[in-house]
Amino acid sequence: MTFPAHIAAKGSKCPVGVGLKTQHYDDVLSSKPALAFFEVHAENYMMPGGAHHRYLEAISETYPLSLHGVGMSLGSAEGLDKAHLRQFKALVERYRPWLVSEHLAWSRMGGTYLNDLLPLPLNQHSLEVVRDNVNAMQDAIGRRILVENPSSYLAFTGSDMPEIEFLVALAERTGCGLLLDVNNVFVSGKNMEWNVSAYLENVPAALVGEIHLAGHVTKEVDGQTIRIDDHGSRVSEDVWDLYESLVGRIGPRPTLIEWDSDIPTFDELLEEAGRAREVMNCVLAQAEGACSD
Amino acid sequence: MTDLLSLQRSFAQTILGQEPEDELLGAVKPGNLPPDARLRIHQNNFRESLSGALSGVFPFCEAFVGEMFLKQALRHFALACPPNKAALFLYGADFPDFLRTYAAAASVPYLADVALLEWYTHALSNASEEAIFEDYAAAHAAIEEGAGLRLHGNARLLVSSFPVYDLWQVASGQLEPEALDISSRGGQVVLLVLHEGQVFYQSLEGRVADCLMRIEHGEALGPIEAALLEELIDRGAIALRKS
Repeated sequence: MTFPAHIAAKGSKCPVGVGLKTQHYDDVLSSKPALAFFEVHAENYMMPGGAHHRYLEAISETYPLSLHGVGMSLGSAEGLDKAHLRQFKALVERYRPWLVSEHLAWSRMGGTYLNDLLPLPLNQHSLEVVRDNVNAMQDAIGRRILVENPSSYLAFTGSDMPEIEFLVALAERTGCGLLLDVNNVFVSGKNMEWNVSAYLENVPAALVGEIHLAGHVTKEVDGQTIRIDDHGSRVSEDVWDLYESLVGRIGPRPTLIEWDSDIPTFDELLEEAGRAREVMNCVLAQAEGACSD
Repeated sequence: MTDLLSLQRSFAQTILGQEPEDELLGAVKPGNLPPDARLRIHQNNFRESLSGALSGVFPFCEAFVGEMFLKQALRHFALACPPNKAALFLYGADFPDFLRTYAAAASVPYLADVALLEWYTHALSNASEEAIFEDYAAAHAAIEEGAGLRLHGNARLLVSSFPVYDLWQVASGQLEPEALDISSRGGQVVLLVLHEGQVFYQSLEGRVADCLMRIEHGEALGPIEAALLEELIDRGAIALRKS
């Protein structure tokens, strides 16, 4: 993992960023917080003009960007939407992001965009479909992407590979890296009744290019507790524990706090970012035998 | 259901409101929750995420009908007119027309035009700004040569049988609700113009409104008074038709 020059210059080995929200544009520009990067959803910047681009251009003069797609539909059996791919490529060329990522999911069928990160059966056939789509995306934009594990609410009888095994196989076949969303691992593990710690222990350190942390909500569905990945609250303590354990094993990684609904004050978001930085700093200190915790 | 394309087609139909096919239900592992309940989570995600995204585009509609009504209308809209692109800033253009035939909105017949005003605002706010047209002589010459004029790329014209400009003023707090009698006020024509990142609203009457409506419909103007033509240019409403 190579950090951008401005981060290396500041001596940061623990780059933490936050998802950029419109409600925080002015806060960012006026306070210039000590963050390593901002992440934006690519689809929110696919319009030709307007205030979003003006702000993003101004912010990108100071901070590296992570361009995070939510609509590429890498798991689509129909293949990729070429018009969408062109728009994504144009954003990559315009903003030269530090990181580029998408999801292990599908969201498009027959000309309809379903606005959700939908699950795939995890098997050899799906792997070939996603492999071809990741290759097509990387070829189009001319660079490696990170693929994020989704949060799951259902699994298919046709699945015969654990999710992390699927992602590692995908990385081997395409050269992509992993964007490991620890909250998604937790949410999926609880919803699908699989072992969250075992999943994380099987993540190859070398593949992880970014980590996501976010909050989730618990709901009762037909008498069962289901966790919904709504990005609308602070990161749960369970997820912080998993993050600390993961970073302790694989070392610091660019870490992003996502908060996309019930948007908090910018200060509250910065507090969450500060906690992630503390975790990574402590891991580094422990590695040097200097952390007393 | 072993074929991925068939599975995704069936899954998509379920999200868009159809009952899940037996084959799809059989393809979902039940675990501690039955397959149909698991699929409903995704149905709900689809409706809620889209209604949430669009409610931010139509705040003045919400001011007139309330959050609950608007959210429900947007959920119905999401199922009736799902997006065809992931770039959702393009999504919602059909919502005003949807409202015109939405039975639950029958008692607020002006709501569709308020929504259209908001959609135009949203579309202009995300548009590229074209150069301002201010060449009076070129405009006169274009008319004489029959080349014609067009609505400026950063302008939208809304012709309503309701007092939509006054309604916008009420929703944005510039006019007291008691000051507006919708039934007697009559219709209004509103010109929206994007300039230096901001959308400006102008209520038009008389010859200016008539002239702009004809330009928007591509009608030949024939002789036009210099003062009227220059007023249209000054309002940022027109440009030369592209050859």
